[in-house]
Amino acid sequence: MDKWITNLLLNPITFGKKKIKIALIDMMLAVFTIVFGIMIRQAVISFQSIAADEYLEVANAFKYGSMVFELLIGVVAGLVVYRTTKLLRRSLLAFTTAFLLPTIIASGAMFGLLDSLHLTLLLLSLYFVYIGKANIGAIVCAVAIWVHPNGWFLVPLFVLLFLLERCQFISLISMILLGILKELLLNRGYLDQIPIYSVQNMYQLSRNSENLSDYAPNMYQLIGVNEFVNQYTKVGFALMIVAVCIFVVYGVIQKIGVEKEELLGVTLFFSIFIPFFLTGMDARSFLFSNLVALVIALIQPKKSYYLIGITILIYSSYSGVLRGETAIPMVLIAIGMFVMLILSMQDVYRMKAKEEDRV
Amino acid sequence: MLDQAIRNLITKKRKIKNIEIAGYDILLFVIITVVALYMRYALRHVVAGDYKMFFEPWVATLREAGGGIKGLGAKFEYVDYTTPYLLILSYISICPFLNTLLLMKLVSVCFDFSAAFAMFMIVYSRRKNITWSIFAYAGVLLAPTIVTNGSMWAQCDIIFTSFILWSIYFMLRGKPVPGMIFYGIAFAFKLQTLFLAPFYLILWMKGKCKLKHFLFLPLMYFIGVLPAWYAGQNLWDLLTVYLFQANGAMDFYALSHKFPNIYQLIGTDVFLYEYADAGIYLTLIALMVVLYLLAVKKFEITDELFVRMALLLTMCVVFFLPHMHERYAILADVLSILLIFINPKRFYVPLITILCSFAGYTMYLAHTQMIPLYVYTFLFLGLMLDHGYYLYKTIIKQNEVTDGQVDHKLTT
Repeated sequence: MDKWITNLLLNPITFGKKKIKIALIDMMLAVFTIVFGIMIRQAVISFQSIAADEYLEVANAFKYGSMVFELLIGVVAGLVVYRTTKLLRRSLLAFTTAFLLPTIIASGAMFGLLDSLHLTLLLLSLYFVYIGKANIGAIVCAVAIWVHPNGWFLVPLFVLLFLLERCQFISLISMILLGILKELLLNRGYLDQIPIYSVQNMYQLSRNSENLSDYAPNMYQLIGVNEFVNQYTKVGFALMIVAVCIFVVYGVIQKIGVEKEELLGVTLFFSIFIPFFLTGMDARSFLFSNLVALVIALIQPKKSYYLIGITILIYSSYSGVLRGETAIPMVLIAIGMFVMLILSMQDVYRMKAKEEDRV
Repeated sequence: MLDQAIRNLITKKRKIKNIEIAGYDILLFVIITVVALYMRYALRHVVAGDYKMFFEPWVATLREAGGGIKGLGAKFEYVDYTTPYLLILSYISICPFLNTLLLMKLVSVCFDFSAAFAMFMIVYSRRKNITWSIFAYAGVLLAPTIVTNGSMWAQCDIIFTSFILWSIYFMLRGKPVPGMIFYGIAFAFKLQTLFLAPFYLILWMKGKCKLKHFLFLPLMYFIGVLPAWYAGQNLWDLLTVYLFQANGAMDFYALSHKFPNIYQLIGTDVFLYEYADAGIYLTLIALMVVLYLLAVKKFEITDELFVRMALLLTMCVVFFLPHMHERYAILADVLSILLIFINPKRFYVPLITILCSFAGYTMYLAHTQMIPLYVYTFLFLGLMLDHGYYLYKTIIKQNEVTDGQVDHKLTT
């Protein structure tokens, strides 16, 4: 009896023409992931991040819509992992982890700003780059920029890929121009009636934050978020642009980004680096780095420290917004993120050094 | 001449029923026992808030109802203990000698020794070395959380912990029937026994016990409630005590009760209902993922793997579950002590585990907090990762040997 049950759970069943082998226990994990994922979201969905009546009218649509995109994030994360490892169970775990990631859950069900939409697009863009279709990736990234300004975080990667002859100029320039066009339209108020932009706007107004950083675990938590706001905003932006340019040039010289492993490493680095130095960032600005860290952890479990570290740091920052103050001092959280940044930079450097050794 | 005789008496090994015992073993055993008793004696008069708030009124109610089995028929305003411990309290209520506080502490102290002896037996069964077993015996008796829990705080967590240790002893020896009986007895005493339920499921998946053995849990629980049923209590109420506890009805006011878990990182005082539900679901699915990972891999359960699996699963539960009290990691404390006697290189595990547990004890008993609890949370998390990494490394290595599959390397 016991043997029969364990066999039933563990023995794989073959499906389809590609003869995909799935065991009952795998299917159970997938089902439980979805069920528990929805239950967790349902438990916290009553929180409203914006008190405005206009938001409350669309809050549920945003929150439940977000769930669908969060499922898609899981699927895309699973696809990236499967492309690398060819292990179905590993990609199932990627799906499970992505759908149950507390930061993603809180972003969708508590903040309710549909962050999962641009995150899905960014991850999908990365997936296309990953499978060698960087041009399609650039178009998807352009859509991500249209949805949320954080879409810009992936642009340096495309610049690097273009210089490494892995992406065409037309795709890159189209992506950048489309992004600039969106910012222009948004600044002139042409997009204000579109719900996703109006909600983003409402959130900014509700935070009423004139600070350099709205609980984002970045550089400004170390130097103070209240002083020299205008000056540091300009200086921070310029610093970030120059630093990104230097890293891109370094990447071109070293040919970083050719290998898949490096690609994820570079993406992780940029997704931490940009919000770390940019002003006006909030607690959710590091979400994309969280997803990249997830993919890295599932491909190389030894690097799970990124996923664990970034998740804890982001959620600790969330608590600042959600309850008014963080349980851990913000400066410590920012130092933690700085450590993650250094590690990711070191990782990219080491990958290259290892490759050179091989050559 | 005398010197030599004394030296011989202390160091010479004698065989008693195939067991080699030296004089220093006996001496050490006696000294440890005396010191352990003295430590407990020194703490006997400490009165904790829990005693005043809960235990004293409960014992008074039991006494009014007649004490003994008759006392179990008492109507309580609120009580969340199961019948077996209430029965002990009920007999304490009519005990003619010593006061209630001392008797309660005495019961816990007896179980301290039961747990220590179980640890002694586990280590002896693995290492066949009396001296090491005595060290393990000392490890339990002298652990700060164990000493404090019973003899200072008058809590009874050691009762279920000692039964679990006996259960582990039998499971390690490949005797699932007594193993599950003891696990069932532990369950009859405390709901926290279920912290280890995922571990027993893994043992079942690996063929170390049978599904039918799990019936000992409800059976022992049912036997446990019989005295109260006999005394006139409603059977349904008796059977659903744990449902009330699981709801966390009494503990809703904070997400963590001075225990260094995940809620110390995000704040324990807001989203009390939202995070409580979400935390329970998150814990369940996290356990499912760990169970899944362990179930799908083929591996031999070595002693260290056995203890670390149990430790990791217990720590996972207390780390993610809301409403955890500072005392709830007692199981992790004793399991970490066991680990040091299986692999002495892991000496840091019990040190850090007990340090983290004791931080909460200090906050409750002495009302002091020297280091913020989130620091202990990171230490606790670090240990969990250490256990997880060990399991991953060991299981992957075994899988490489068994089917030649190298699935943890990146293929580009």
